[in-house]
Amino acid sequence: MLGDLGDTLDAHVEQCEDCSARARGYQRIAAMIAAGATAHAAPPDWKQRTLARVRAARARRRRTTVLSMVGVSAAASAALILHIHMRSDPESPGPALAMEIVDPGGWRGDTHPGQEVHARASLAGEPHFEIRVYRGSRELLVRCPDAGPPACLEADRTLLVWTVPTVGTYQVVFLVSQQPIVAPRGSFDDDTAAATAGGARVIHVEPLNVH
Amino acid sequence: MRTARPKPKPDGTLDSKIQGLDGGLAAALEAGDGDQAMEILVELHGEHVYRYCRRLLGEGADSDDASQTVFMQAFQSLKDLTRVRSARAWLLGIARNRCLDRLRALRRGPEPLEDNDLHAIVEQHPGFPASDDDPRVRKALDDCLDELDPRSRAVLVLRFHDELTYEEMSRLTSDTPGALRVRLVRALPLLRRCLESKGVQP
Repeated sequence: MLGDLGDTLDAHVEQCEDCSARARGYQRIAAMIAAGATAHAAPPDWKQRTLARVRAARARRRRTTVLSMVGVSAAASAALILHIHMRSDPESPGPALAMEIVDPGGWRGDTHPGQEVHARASLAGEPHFEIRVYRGSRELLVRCPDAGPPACLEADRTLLVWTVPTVGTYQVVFLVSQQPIVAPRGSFDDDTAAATAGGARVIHVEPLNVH
Repeated sequence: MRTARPKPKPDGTLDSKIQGLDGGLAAALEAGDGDQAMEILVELHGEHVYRYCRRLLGEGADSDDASQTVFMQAFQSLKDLTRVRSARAWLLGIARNRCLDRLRALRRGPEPLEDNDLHAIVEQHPGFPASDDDPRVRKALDDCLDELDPRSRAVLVLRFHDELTYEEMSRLTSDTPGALRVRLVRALPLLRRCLESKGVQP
């Protein structure tokens, strides 16, 4: 594998002491890359977060499978609800967020760009709330109700109407609190940690994996 | 953590297709316990996948999310794992595709830096030999790879870490084999000089 490095060098390398030294240096660099030498390490909670995402995806897939069976009989419908989910505790009367993915063009079997995410919040008496949508873990895309229309509505208690823009992974989080919620800075982990520290209750919705 | 109960064949052995996988993983797959299989995969290979994504994507991209996406896809394709010899190689193959997707999404990254921009010539450090056991060397290599443009960094990783041929890389990146070779040849001196500027004598 490292042998072809020699091909990239001038033919006189073997007679040129300086060139030979450089070639050996390149070979050592290649060997370090090959060995995966790095000081980078996954964040401490990376494994837990990864497994949580996998479990959430599994749960969503199960729901989608059930609903897709319903969808077959409702294929003529112009707008098809792919799945409805998210209550932190279905038996609890506490705050909850019901989320739907609506496909104006008909279901195409998977979550994809162009679909609309509709979310309705039940506040259960909590005076302050926010719905946030992040792309990946770093980019805050939507923040309701602050963003206002057209993304954030209040008619018919549909608070978030948001069109999935591109392929990617999106995280939706619902925050409720007895006091004003700490403003986000744009990083999912930092924002939810800050909100929690500020007394908010953080209710996670399973990530949307848009293909 | 739950313990998967393998379903042995009548002769008491596990399916030969998955015998080569790590013991607990093979058992979990035999038992159809996807949760357990994923826990084992993340535990055994998560760090490696994260580091691979971090190296390939560099500092600016979200290697945290990218590496998690690898395991999301792995879960969806878990049945394929019964047909592979190495779970790690399988995961890194997924990681390679997902990370290259992200690099493509970035469109053209910043152009390669000129030598003079890549590393200001600093006072001569006493050089220390390049050894991947030395954390200073690993850190310097990380930093210097991060300073390269994304496509040059990707070529180095695909060629030397993944041991792909230029033809294989071409199919993944849509660049010609010749262009990839040129990119690698140009990247190596930049990397060497950058390491030297950080006191690493490769």
